[in-house]
Amino acid sequence: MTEERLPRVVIGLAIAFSLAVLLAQPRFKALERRLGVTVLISAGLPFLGMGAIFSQENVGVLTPAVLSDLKPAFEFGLGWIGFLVGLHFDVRKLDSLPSSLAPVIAIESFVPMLTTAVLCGMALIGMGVPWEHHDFARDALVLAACAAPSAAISMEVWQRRVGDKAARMIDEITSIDEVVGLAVLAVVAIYFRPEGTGIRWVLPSSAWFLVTLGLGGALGIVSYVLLRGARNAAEELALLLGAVALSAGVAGYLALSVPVICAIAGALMANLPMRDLEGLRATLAMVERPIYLIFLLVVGAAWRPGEWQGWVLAPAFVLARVAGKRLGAIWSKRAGPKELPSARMLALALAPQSPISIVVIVSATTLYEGHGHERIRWAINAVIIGGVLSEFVVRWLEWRRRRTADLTPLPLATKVDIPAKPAPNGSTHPDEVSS
Amino acid sequence: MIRAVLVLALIAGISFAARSFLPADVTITGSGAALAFGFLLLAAMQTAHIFHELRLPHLTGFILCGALFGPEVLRLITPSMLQDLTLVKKVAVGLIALTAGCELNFAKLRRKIRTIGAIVVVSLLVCAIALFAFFFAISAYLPFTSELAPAQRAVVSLILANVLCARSPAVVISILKESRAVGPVSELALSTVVVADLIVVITFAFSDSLAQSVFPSANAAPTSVFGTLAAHILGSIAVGIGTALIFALYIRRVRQRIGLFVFVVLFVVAEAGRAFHLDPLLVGLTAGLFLENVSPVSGHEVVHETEIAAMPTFAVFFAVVGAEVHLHAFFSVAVYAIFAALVRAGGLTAGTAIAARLVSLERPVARKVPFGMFPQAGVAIGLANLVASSFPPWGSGAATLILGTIVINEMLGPVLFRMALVRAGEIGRKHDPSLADQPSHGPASDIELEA
Repeated sequence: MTEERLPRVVIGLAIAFSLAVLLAQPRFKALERRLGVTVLISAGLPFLGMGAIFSQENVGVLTPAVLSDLKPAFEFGLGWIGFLVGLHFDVRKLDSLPSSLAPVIAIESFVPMLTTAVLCGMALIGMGVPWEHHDFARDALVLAACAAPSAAISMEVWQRRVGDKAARMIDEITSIDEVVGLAVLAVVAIYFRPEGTGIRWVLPSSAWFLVTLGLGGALGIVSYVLLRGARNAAEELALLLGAVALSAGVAGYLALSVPVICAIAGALMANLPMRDLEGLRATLAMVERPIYLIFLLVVGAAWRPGEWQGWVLAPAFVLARVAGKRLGAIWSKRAGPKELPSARMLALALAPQSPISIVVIVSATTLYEGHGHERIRWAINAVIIGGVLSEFVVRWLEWRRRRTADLTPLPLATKVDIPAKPAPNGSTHPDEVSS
Repeated sequence: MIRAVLVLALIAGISFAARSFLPADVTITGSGAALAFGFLLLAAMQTAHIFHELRLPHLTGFILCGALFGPEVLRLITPSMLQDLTLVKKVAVGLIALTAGCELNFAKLRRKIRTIGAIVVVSLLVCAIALFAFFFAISAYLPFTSELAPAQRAVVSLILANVLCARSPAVVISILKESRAVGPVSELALSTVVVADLIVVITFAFSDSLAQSVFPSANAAPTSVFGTLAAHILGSIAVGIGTALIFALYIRRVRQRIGLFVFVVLFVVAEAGRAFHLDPLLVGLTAGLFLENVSPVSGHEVVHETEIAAMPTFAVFFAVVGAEVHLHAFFSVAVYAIFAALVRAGGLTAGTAIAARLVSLERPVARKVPFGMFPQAGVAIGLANLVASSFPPWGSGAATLILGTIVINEMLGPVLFRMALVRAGEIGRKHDPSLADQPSHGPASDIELEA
C-alpha cells in the first residue's frame, strides 16, 4: 500500500465499517420495517456498490492488501453465520411439527432449485458456457443452492394475514430451507473440489463426504464441551469466538465449505442439552447484520456491473426462483397440512430471498477462486441483484393483492424495538434475519 | 483441570490433523489466520484454566501456550500465520492501551504525581546505569562486541541498557484485570509502567541517534531515526486524540453497540498505523487518557462496554506474543540473559527503594511496586527488532541478547507481579460486573443442580 493512497484507504474503511455498525442499529431496522424493505435493498445494494467503487484502481480503497487483511475476518464471518443457521436445526422442534409438513419443506426447497438450475443453466449455455464441462454443473448447482432459502417472515405480519398456526409453519419452512441451501453447497464443495497441487490428502469424494460430516460433528462436540465449561458471560463469549474461528479455520484450511462445517457443528449443539439455546442464537444474531454488510462490501470488490452476462443471469434467476416457489406452493398445498395458507399466500411468503443465499455465493467464491471466476462474478450479480429484484416483485405482488384482496398491509413501526430475545416459538426476530 | 487438559488435547489434535493437509511450509491466507486465531484463543484459555488451578497467572498460561505451539517448538502455528495475525495483535494492543488510558484519572492521581515521577525517574536511571555497567563489563567477551573499540562498546551497551529498561503496560493491565486487583501497588505499578515506557521510547531515539553517529550505516535512510521517532510519537498522540474525539462523539450521539464501534475504529487505526508507522499502544493510550481526563465522556464507560471482549483480546494477544518468543535466541545467550535479567531486576528494585525514601512512600508498597516493572513484552521486542535492522554488523547479536533476556522477564515477570499483588492483599478487590454474569449457555443440568 503506497502512502499517498493511505488516507483514502483509512477514510474509506472507516466510512464502510462505521456504516455497517450504524445500519445495524434498531432505529434503522424499524425504519426498514416502516418502509417494508429488507436489508438487501436498504443497505445491501449500497454496500455492494461501495465495494465496487472502492475496488476501482483510481479509488484504491479495497486494495488487494486490504482484502487480504480482511480475509480471516471474512472466513470467520462465514463460520459465524453457518453456526447460526445450524442452531436453527433442532430435531426436537422438527418432531413436534405435523408429519405432512415434511413434503412441503422438500417441495418448497427443491422445486425452486430445480427451476433455477434449469433456467440459469440455459442462460449460461446461451452465454456460450460449455455445458459438457463439470464446472457447468457446479455453477448451476451453486445457483440452485442460492434459490432454496427464503427470508424469514415477520411473524407479526403473517400471523395477522394467515393465522398463528400457518405463520408458524411458514416460519419453520424458512428455517429449514436455509439448511437445504447449505446442504446443496456441501454437495458442491465435496464433489466439485478444485484440484490443488501440493496437497497431502488425496481422497475420493465419498471420503470427503465423511470428512465433512465427521469434522462438523467433532467441532460441534468441541464447541459444546467448551461452552459447557464457561464460568461467566465474558468467558463464554471468548470461547464462542474461539470455537467459531477454529471451525472456520479448519474448514477453510481443508478447502471445505466454511458455513457448511460450522452449520453441522451448530446443528449438533442445537440438539444437545442447553439451558438457553435462544440466548446463544441471540448472541450470534447480534452481529449478523454487520457481517452481511461487510460480506457485501468485499463481494462488491469482485463485482463487475459492466459485465452484461450478470445482468442477463439476474432476471433469469429471479424468474426461475419465484416461479419455482409458486409452483412449489401449489404442489405443497395439495400435499401439505390443511392449515397451510393458500398457494398464493404461501408463495408470497416464501418468495423473498434469504440473506443466506449471499453466504452461499460468497462461500462458493472462496471455494472456487481461480476456477471459472468470471462465472462466479456473474452468479454474484445474479444472486444479489436477483435478491433485490425479488424484493420488488414481492412488493408489487403485495400491492396487487392489496388492491384485489384483503391482504393486511405492513404495519407502521411506531416504536424503536431492540431485538433482544427471540420469539418463544424458536424463531429469531424476523428483522434479525430477513431485514 | 482434567477437562481443560482433555479439551486442549482435542483442539490440538484437530488442528494438527488439519495442518497435515498441506506441507509444513505452506499456509493459506485467511484460513490459516482463522485457524491460528481460533486455536490460540481456545488453547490459551484452556492453559489459563490449568494455570488457575496451579495458582499461576492466566497470562503466563497464554504466553506459554503460544510458545509451545508456536514456530519454535511444536510448529502448529507457522511464522506466516503469525504474520497474518499482526493486525489482530495491533487491535489487541490498541484495546489494551485504551483500557490503560481509561483507568488513569489525572485528578485522582494528582496527589501521587510526585511519587510516580520519582519512581519513574530514579528506577529508570538506576536500572539503566546498572545495565550499562553490566553490558560494558561483559562486552569484551560477547562475540558481537569483542572486536569493537571501547567507545563503540559503550554505545552498544547504552543501546542494550536503554532497550532493556522498557516495561510492559500490557502485561500489567492484563494481570490487574484477571486478578481484579485494586490498591496502592496496582495503581502505582500501572501508572509508573505507562510513563516509564513512554520515556524509554523517547530516550531510545537519542541513543539510536548517538549509535548512528558512531556506526554510520551505508544503507541508512537520509532522515534521522530521531526525527522519525519524534514524528511517530507525535503522530501517534495526534491520532490518539482524534480517535478519542470520534469515540466521544459516537458515545454521546449514538450510544449503541459501543464495544463493536470501538473495535471497528481500532481496526482502522491498526490498518492505518501499519503504513503511517503509528504505535497502536501510544494511540490507544492517548485516546484513553483523553477520554478519561478531557472529554465529557467517561473512560470507564468505554472500559465497561469493551469489558466482555477483554478476555479474548488478552488471550490471543499474549498467546501471539508467546508464539513470537525467541527460544533459540534465549538458549544461545542463556547465561548472559539470566544475568542481564537479574541486573535489571536489581536496578529496578534499588531505584524504586531510593525513590521511595525520597518521597517517603510506605515501605510495604515500595517493596512490591518493582514487581510490576519486571515484565517485558511488545515495546521491548519492537525496539530489539529495530536494533537488529538498524545496525547490521552487531545489531542481530545485540537483538538476540535482548530477546533472550525478554524471554525470562516475559515468563517470570507476570508470576512475580501476581505474587506481589497477593502479598499486598489487592487481589479480587475490584468488582467486575462482566465476571459476575452467569454464562447463558451452560448446560441445563448445571441449572438443575444449582436449583
